Amino acid sequence: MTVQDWLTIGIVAGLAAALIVLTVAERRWPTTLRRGAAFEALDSAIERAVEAGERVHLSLGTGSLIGSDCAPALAGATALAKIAEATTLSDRPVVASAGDGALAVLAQDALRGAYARTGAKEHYRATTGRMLGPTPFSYAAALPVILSSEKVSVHLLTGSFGAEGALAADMGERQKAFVLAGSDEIQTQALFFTTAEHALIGEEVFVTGAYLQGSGMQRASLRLQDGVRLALVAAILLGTLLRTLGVL
Amino acid sequence: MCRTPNPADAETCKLCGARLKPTGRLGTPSEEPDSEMRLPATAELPPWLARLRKDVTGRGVIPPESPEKEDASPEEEEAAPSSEDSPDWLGGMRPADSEEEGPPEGEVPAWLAEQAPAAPPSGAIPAEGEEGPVPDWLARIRAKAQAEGRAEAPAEEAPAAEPPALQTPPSAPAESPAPAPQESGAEPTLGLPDWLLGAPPEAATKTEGPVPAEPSWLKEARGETGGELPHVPALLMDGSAPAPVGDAEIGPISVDVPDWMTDLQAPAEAPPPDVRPNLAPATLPAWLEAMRPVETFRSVVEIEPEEDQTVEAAGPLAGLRGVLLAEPVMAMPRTPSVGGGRLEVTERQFAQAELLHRLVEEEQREAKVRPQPKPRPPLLRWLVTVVLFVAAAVPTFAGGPAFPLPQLQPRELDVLASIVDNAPVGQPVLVVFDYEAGYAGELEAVASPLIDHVLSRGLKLATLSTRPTGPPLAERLVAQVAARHGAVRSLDFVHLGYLSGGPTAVQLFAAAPTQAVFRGYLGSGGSPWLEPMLLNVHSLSDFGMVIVVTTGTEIARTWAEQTQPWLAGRPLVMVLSAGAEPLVRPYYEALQPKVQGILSGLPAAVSYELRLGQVGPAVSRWNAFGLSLMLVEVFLVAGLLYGLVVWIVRGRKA
Amino acid sequence: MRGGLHYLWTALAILFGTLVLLGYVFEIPALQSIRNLLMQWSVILSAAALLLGLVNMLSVHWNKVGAQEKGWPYSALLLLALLGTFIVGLIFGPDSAILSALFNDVQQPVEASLVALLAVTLTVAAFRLVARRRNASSIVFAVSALVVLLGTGPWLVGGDGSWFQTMGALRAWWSQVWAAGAARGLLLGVALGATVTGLRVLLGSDRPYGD
Repeated sequence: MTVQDWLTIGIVAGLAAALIVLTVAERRWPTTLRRGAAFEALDSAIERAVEAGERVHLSLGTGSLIGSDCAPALAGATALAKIAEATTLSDRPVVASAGDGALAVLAQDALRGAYARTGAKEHYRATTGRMLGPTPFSYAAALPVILSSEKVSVHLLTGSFGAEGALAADMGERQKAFVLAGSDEIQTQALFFTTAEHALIGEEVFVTGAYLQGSGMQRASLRLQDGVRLALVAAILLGTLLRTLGVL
Repeated sequence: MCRTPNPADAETCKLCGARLKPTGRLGTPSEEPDSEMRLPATAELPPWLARLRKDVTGRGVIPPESPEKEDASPEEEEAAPSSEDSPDWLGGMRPADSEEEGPPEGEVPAWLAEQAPAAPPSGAIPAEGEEGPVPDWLARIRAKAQAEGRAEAPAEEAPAAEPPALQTPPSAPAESPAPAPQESGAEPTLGLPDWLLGAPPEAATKTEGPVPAEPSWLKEARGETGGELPHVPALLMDGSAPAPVGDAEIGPISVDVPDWMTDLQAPAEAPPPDVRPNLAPATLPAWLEAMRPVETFRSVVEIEPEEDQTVEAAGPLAGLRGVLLAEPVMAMPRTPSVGGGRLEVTERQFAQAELLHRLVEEEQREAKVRPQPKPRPPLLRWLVTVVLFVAAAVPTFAGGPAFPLPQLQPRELDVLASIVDNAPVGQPVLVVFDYEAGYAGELEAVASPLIDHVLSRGLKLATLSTRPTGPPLAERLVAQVAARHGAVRSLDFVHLGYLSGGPTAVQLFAAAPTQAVFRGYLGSGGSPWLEPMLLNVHSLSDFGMVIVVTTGTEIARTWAEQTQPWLAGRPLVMVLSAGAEPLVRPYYEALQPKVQGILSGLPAAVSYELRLGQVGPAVSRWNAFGLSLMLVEVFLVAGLLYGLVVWIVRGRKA
Repeated sequence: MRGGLHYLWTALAILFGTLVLLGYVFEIPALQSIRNLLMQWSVILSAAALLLGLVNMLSVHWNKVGAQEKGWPYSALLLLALLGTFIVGLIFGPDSAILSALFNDVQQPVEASLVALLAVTLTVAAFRLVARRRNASSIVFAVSALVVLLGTGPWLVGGDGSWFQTMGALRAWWSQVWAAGAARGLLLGVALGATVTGLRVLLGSDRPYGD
């Protein structure tokens, strides 16, 4: 095994241990989440949608479940479960869509679990989690149908999107819906900045679950991310300085 | 019921409109409580009641009074009122047997004793003339008693004959010795206690017999505990009930009994004299009835015979006889009394009532359907569409404005060209097509000169894709370029087809290409690794070069990171859209670069074509590209200025 | 029993994730064989999930046609096209000329149109950006976009001049230093977020596969 392998093991194990410790400490010293205008607006938008009998739509993206582009979809699935619990008994429960078959199945599982937890198992329908199209642009082409026919007033994009994400966000804006969009692709984040009402920049797409009354570990993971980020910033600055001075 | 004082002759209360006098028949004038009330004869009373009367009034036997005598002495026993005259709601109760025993001799029930004046406490019983407000009924009784008493002479008569009861069993004459007669010449009392008549307390002391105990209310006023209540016989209807002690014998009051009461009564046959009856009579003597306050329900209700009873026509009791008619009573219009019926409403209550009234009115009003606002036409979007379409179409079809071709070549172009020039001829080049069909317009133009260069050197091509739409895109571009060089499928280029699994499959392919792909695209149908140009390919490093054509930074990074261990120094070239270049360039510019060649954007492709000395799709798109880009820049500047103006104007308004 | 199954799925998820992770790190042949096997299973399951997604899509549009909901003709058209293409592919094969023609003459132009629509959408959004979001970041965004566009595309006038060269150099410096640097920072954050999300799944805290 090389040094790099040991470093990899050490980093993963260290992060896991830190996450567990912070989760335990969360009970005593709960994390104070930074105020996010987008998430605060999301809470009230969901409440408004439930009261008005309108629908929340959440998209898990056009990525795949096997690969690095599954991470935002997993985060989106966590948010989907939280939102579903809030909307199971409303006139129009949340509907989830994806551009991949495996993500559609993931969405169905998340919805089924949420319905079961709220005791509304009999209200669950498999078609509330659906695949709109197998390719990114076919997914984008099918999106206006679901936005208009399902009376969507909250349009969430939390997954891996390409350039078609800009089309998806713009469709929600034209529908006068509340649009919150986030992706792991940097290019797409730039497109969301121009087309979406509320764009999630950077890793904000991964914190959606924590802001929606997430579990202790979700909140602790935010603290871990902040800590590691600070450490990386320090390391970068130090490395730049040493490189500039000719040490490295 | 509202305890409002009313005149003595008033029929109804001036405040609430309640009837002050009971109706014999509903709607008929009420009967005077003292109009035809007669004291029952002593013989008609049960012994215990007779004893009580004697104890209370001091009068012994009271003879029965004939109904014709209007001036009958109050000591005379009251004749049983006929059913037409004074019906008693309790008259339907079977009178108790005369042999029923009442309270023990000498014991006066407290409820009765308190009606009689006891040893006169100072100020407890008001003397005549010192009384406070006297109820009307009491005043009437006193007045009548005083008027009649002067003309009467106490007489002791034999027990009266059986009363003309219709349904009630005759009561046996009282066998108990009559109480000591009241002294003749004494003030007539109608059997009423002196305190009720206003007689001085001394008169009560003249009665013989044991002094009745103080009224319980008096005792309570002094804080003394009252005596035990005498046993009052229960109003039992069936014969199964235990025989009460001291049941009173109901006076001979004959009344019409409703059917339901008749059905509940015990068998009509009179019980044998030696058998104690189980039921107790419930009728009250008239003199006792006279003491009932006006507010309480008058028992003197004349019950009509069944045939004459009205049948209820409305409500849940429709069809039944003998039902208290609700409508005539409840719906009886009541004239508001003068100065008594005004409802005081506060301002707040008035406002709330108005609000409620308005809400109810609004509910009944049909709401107008608000027409949905017409959606505004997206003029800006149409304008941009038209402008961009014209900008792309005019140079394509009409030549349009000629934009100058790039004079300077990018530095990475030389590196790329040298990589292709130095690629081994015997080894095929792997070209990965990893973009969607929509980006074919841009990437085909960018990748075309590179493919052209590769084929022009006689290098073989093997195409692969990690997307389902990749193989047809690969065939589309390679066939187009190969046609210019006379390349033939299966000899000069082979399609490895679709690699399922996304990024995960990239590493599997890199580790063992022949085990990741089993069937090609547009091939002979078998394994593509059996084609002559791929026979010597067993790993990724057996390819001379790997070219990845993609628009996504993630795919580019995946190929750059996942395939490095297996490339073994073979060059990796990225053909990118302009947007992906900033994030892939670090892999190219790193100290240990993972990407050896990069070609991004149409300008670089035009430069490449110029370097190769040919006019390809990149050059043909140059003018349309330039004009469209220029107009987008105009829109961007206009939007920036518009936004600043709006910002300033709204800031000033605020 | 429902609770027991829940723990079983969680245990399996943790086990398989840990095996794949260790297979990447440790160069133990057995571990790497297990890793490869699990990854091949995931590839097969992904393809099977694609079929499931297609069935789900079919059922949604089938219900829509059956209920005659708004837009049901388009759903009917989709069903016809899907089934027709599927049957043609089964009969003639995925690399037949018919399917190639369908792809080149129908799908590719439609997707190209959507990309063109994307260009219009982004232009309109860029026009409205500063007016809608009146803050400094919008202005910086708009100016950055202008600089990159001016430095990338040709100029109708002065395309050979010094200003064009200067703008090109400015664009390279702006995008490769500032934009790429900021993008790298964002990528670090995204990588952190993805890592921690994966850790939560490995530790069984997040169970996106349901209960």
